[in-house]
Amino acid sequence: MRTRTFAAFGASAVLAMGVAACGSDDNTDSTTTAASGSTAAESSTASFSGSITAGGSTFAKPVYDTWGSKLKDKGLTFNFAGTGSGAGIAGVTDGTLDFGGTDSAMDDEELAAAKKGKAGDVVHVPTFFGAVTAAYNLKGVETGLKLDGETLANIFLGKVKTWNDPSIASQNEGVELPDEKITVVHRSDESGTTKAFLSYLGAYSKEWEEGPGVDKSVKWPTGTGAKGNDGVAAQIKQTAGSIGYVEQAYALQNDFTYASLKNKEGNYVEPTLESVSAAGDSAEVPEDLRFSIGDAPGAQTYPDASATFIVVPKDLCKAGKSETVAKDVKNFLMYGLTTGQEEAKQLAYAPLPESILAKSKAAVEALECNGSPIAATR
Amino acid sequence: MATSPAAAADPGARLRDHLARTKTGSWLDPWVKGGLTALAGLIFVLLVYFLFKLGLEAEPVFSAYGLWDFVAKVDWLPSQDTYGAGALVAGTAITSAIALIIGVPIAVATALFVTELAPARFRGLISGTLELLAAVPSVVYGLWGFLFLAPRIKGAEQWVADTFSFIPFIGGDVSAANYFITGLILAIMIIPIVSAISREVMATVPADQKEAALALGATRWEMIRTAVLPYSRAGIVGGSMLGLGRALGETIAVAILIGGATAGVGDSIFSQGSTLASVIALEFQEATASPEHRAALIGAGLLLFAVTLFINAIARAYISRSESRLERAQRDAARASEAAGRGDLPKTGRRGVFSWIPRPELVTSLKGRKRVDKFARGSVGALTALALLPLALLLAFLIIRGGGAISWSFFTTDPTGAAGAVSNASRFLGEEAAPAATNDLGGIRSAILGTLEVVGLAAAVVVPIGIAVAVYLVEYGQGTWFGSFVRYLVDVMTGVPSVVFGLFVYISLVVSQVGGVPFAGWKASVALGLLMLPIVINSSLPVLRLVPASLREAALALGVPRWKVILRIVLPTALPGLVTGALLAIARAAGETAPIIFTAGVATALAGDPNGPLNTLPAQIYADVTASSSAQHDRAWGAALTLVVLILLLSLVARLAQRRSRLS
Repeated sequence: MRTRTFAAFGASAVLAMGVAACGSDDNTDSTTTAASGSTAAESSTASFSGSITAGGSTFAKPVYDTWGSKLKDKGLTFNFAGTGSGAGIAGVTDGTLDFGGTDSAMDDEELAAAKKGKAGDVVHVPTFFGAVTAAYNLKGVETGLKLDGETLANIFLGKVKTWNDPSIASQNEGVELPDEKITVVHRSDESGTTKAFLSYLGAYSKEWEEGPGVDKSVKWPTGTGAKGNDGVAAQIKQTAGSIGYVEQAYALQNDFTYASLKNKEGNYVEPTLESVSAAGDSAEVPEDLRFSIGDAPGAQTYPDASATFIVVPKDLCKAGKSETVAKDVKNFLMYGLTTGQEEAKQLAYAPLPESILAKSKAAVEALECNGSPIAATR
Repeated sequence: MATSPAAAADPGARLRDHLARTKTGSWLDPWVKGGLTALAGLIFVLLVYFLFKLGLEAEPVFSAYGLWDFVAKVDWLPSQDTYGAGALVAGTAITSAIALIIGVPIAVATALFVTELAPARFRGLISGTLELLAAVPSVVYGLWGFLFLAPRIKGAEQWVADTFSFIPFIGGDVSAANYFITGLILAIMIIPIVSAISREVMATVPADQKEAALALGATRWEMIRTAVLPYSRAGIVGGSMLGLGRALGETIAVAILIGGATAGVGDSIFSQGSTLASVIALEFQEATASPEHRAALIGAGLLLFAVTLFINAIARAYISRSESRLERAQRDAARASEAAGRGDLPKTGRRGVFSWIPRPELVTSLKGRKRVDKFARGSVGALTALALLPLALLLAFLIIRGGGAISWSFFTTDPTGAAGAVSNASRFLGEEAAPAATNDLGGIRSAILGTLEVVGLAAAVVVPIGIAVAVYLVEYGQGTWFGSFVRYLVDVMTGVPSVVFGLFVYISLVVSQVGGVPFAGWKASVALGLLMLPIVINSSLPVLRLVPASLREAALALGVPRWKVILRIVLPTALPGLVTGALLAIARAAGETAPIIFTAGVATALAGDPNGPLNTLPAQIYADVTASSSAQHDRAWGAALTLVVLILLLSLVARLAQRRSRLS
């Protein structure tokens, strides 16, 4: 039944505009799959009355953009600037964004800065999981090159300089590795993807942890930088012999080959829905929902997975947003935590497990406008 | 350009001066004068607020580090709260130096070719083509440099780096984005300016000097070397300085091409780096949460402003020196002929610090001199062709790639914000492979309409103000201290890099959420308006000065009040010229990117409300260039073609309006 209304919506939009409008084609097919999810029905009738200006995480941007375009027909004007997690946090702190996207939870210092700034108390809403892939551009080598954390760290430290280095070759018997120079590509902006990737390196390499360290941006020992997941992907594409780290959606979109990483139990695991979800299942989630799923236990767990969050002021109206914006943000998040989960899956991200999803929803329900709960518009 | 010689040469100046002090009948006159003076004063207030605001916001970083440490320390590490702008200053210096080394010789060669060597019918064509080069916006150069040039010359760069690694600062691994390619693109961008000013001064070289040289048996090249070049040296230096000012403040093309590495200076010209301008554009969004980071960026902006101001002042001094040279030369010639009449010995020519160095003529035989002449003329022609080459490549690729992206729906749909298809999600999903989610990118409708809205709004406010200030300066301000003060302020404003205006609007309007929203289209209009104001004033001034004094005189003699003379005589007479100036200012603003991404935010959907984020063509191009999917690159080419066509149309209309002018 819901499918039909959606399809009708799409069809009428096509008729009304007289052109094949951008999102309307996919509405039908993706909602067919979405309808199979049991939780999908509740948010579908929420309507929007304004615009949301958000930004931050390029890791999560493809999904948020998709959610935004699906809600366009419901009256939402959605803008998400892929400026990096650091900018997402900064935008919430100073109130230039309605919400921010970040892949690493804000640390205590950042929370304190937000409290002093326009935002006040900030709520973390986990939205889904994704995999940070070590993507490489190496002719003749397929996806699934086996790498452990230490080797990867040594590559990024500039100590392993060629692809046929013994440390790589010993893990990949039977793979013909060329005698080609390795070019490292990394992020130049403040990035949650970087932090997730580096925490994997740091866990297996003391030298990395004590040298460049684990943060959203560091002083890189080698390699070339680029802005955003997009920038890194473009750089990898252009440079033969390069290796960099991008969210999996970007790797798939650009037909990159990427590595299977060695996890805690010593298995080399390729990032898939299963292995990323496995990382999420074992997560211990604290009260304030600031958690990380890096290097999680489990035999078939992908070790370099990351959760991604939307950070939003707990009281949107006190943070300077209008009541309409507050309502729109709440409805947007609810959409993302229901129907949106399936859409994330189609884009190669892993949906939240039921337990975390419930906590996320509770966090959204607890958002306020001037001290009182935001009225639901259903 | 310069005030004083032009004013002295202006026959109407004395009359206007007289009239300005004369009382006339209408009670409206003092009010009109007062109003115009107040508008001119507004510029002063604006600039004071501008400096005050930036200074106040940057104060923490200067008090934490001290000016010298801030400039000299080379570690800019936001994650560790360390801000030394040394690496940025070095990056700015390196890229600008590369731009000058490559750009100036080529630009001077084109100027020589056009004024001295080219057949007359090609002259207009070549200078017109070079002006076309100037009309291409920065973001389009960035697009072309990043997607076309960088991948193609990387092999050559690596070869140079490997072969000449014994030269300092060359060698090592070539990064796709680096100092050199940035400098190369900057060189292409400054060629039109340097060339235009060099052409202007070369055109003022007196014909009798050139003829004298030729008559004494000099070859064409020797004539150029002995008559043209020494005479126009000051102008060429001034033009190069103006080019340098442009290169220093250039933002978006640099931000796309330089890579954005801030931790230290790269060890070769083929490594990544940052400039003062690019770091502001790349980091401002991350900076607002950390007060130190924000202050450091604003400090970088102030530094950039100060350096540009200084360079532009030198440029102006040189250019006005070369302009007054014509008069000086005539005076000297008169004195010399007088002296010759009295029978005095002529003074020996060369003076100056280096005059003791002997300068033997290396080639003396006629055959040799002819060969030198041929070679030099050939090189000048070849360099001119070299200057036109990037334009040809740029336009060709713009038309091929951009034309390929354009369709009807390209102009009638909005960008969806999607990045293109995720074609093989099945690899991730494993067994439950579902039909791939394809996402249509959409077109650029909202970007086109947003650009029109933002630029239109800016023009609607700024063009009248700019013309009014120019009217004040010509009709009332001539010869007064306040008038020349305002002229000076306008010159200062001309030199402010657009990214600094963007930063200023960002901290004073966006962060403080004036109007209830952070990013808004009208705030972008404010930033563009600040940029356009000095251009409108400067282009209106000469036109207004050209209005014949006799027209004013006649009207005043008939008892017409002054305000009516301005409204009914001066403005209508100058109208075509004023339109031209305004249109050129609009064309310039339409291609600006840096101030827009600071202020209008990132948007995709069509929105008419200027009090909210708006999409614009430059912002759309910038977003698409930095994306990885080739579908987005295609859209960037299409949007760039659209933008360039839009700007060229404006310039064309401006030219036509100029033709209608009865003045000059």
